[in-house]
Amino acid sequence: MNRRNKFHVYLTIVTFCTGFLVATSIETTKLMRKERMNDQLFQQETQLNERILSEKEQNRHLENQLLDLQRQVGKVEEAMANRKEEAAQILSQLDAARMQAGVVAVEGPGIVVTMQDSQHAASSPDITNYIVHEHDVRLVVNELRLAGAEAISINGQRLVSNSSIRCIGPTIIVNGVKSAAPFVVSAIGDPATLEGALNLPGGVLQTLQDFVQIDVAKQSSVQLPAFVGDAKSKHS
Amino acid sequence: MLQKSRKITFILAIISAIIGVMLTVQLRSSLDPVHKESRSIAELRASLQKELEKHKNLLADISKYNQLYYQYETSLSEDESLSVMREELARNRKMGGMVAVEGPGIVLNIVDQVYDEHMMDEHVPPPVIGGYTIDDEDLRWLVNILFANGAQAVSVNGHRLISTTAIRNVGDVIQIDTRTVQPPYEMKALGEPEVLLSALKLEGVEEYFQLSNKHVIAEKQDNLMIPANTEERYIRFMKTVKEKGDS
Repeated sequence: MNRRNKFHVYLTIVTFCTGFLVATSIETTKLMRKERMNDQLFQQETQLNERILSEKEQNRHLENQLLDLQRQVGKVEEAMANRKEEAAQILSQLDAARMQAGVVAVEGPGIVVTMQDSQHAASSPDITNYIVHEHDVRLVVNELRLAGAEAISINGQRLVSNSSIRCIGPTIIVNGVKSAAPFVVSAIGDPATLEGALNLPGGVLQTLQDFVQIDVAKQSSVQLPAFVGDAKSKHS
Repeated sequence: MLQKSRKITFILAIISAIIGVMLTVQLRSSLDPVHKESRSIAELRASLQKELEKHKNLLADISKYNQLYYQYETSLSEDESLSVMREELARNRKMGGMVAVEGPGIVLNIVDQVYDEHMMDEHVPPPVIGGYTIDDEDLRWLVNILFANGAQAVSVNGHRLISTTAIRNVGDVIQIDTRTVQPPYEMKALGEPEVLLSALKLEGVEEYFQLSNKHVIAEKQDNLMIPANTEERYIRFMKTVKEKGDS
């Protein structure tokens, strides 16, 4: 009897261990498969990341190249302007036209307006009231234009004569380029006038301030990038 | 006796094996929660696409400037390079909206809704009595839809919209830049007519303006003329950036 009892105890332990082993091996193979999949995903991710980085690097080079070219062209034009009165006249018009068309980077005094979803948004029952909508951005842009802004960009995208401002979810699309909040509207013009226009009693700032986070900063020098891709758009 | 004890042994073995398996699974799943994916591949793809698009645009711009430079360099006489410069000026003025453009596009007329007697009986939404008038944001919204769907140029009541154009309510009327525009509003948009028309349907433009008792008539035109912007524009504050900035 004693011997048999002992045997039972041993058997229990052994089979227990067997069960443990079986389960562990099953789990391990499963985990390995998952890891391999994760690994694949990870590889894909790193590949994508690398491509994005290299593409960015290339774009930076191209941007520099473009600027160099523009400078070269500018030199040739200036040389011509120095030689001939007529060329100088055309050049000054050309400079203005380029700036107004938005194909060259510009700088000057201005204002930077930063818009962000209100922090109350998460806790408020009516969230839509507290997030930045596309018409809010348009309103600010419109007001700046009215106040004589000479050039405007949103999140680094220069507004040109056929730019649109669209919001999809939390992102904004300007000139077909998507970017996320905060939305930074930079404008060149008389800083005091621009700020004053936003600050009018009952104006944009007052209306929006209760709902979204909006900051206005006057700046002595704002730099706006050039609109890239004008060669592509077909102006008939 | 022997038979019975053997049975017990057998059962015991099975049960303890099962317990062992269960215990392990339990331990495993509680010790090591499922891994979360770090960042969605789709997001990365989108940003890659953005960069590629930019790359393409940059290349196009570079080739354009290269061509310009080449034209300057190879022009044999002063007059020839002057004419190259004039061409470049014309191109930029066109892009800035200071030159009239023409091509296929659509014409939008926003007119008052007319209600017949028998139409009232049907299932048309009743007109909003003393309803809203169209305000500046309505026009801005509509213009934005047109531009977002590839319109190259848009004019409202003959006034060409450019990068600095403001549309704003001043009192009861809408002012575009320094000119007031009166209803009925007529918009012209240069672009792919089909794309623009379907975009208008998709965005529910017709329904939206019906709320303010307006009817939108859109029709395509093969040859549309959009006038130049005639506003005087002075540049007082901005100047061209000569060096590469940090942006």
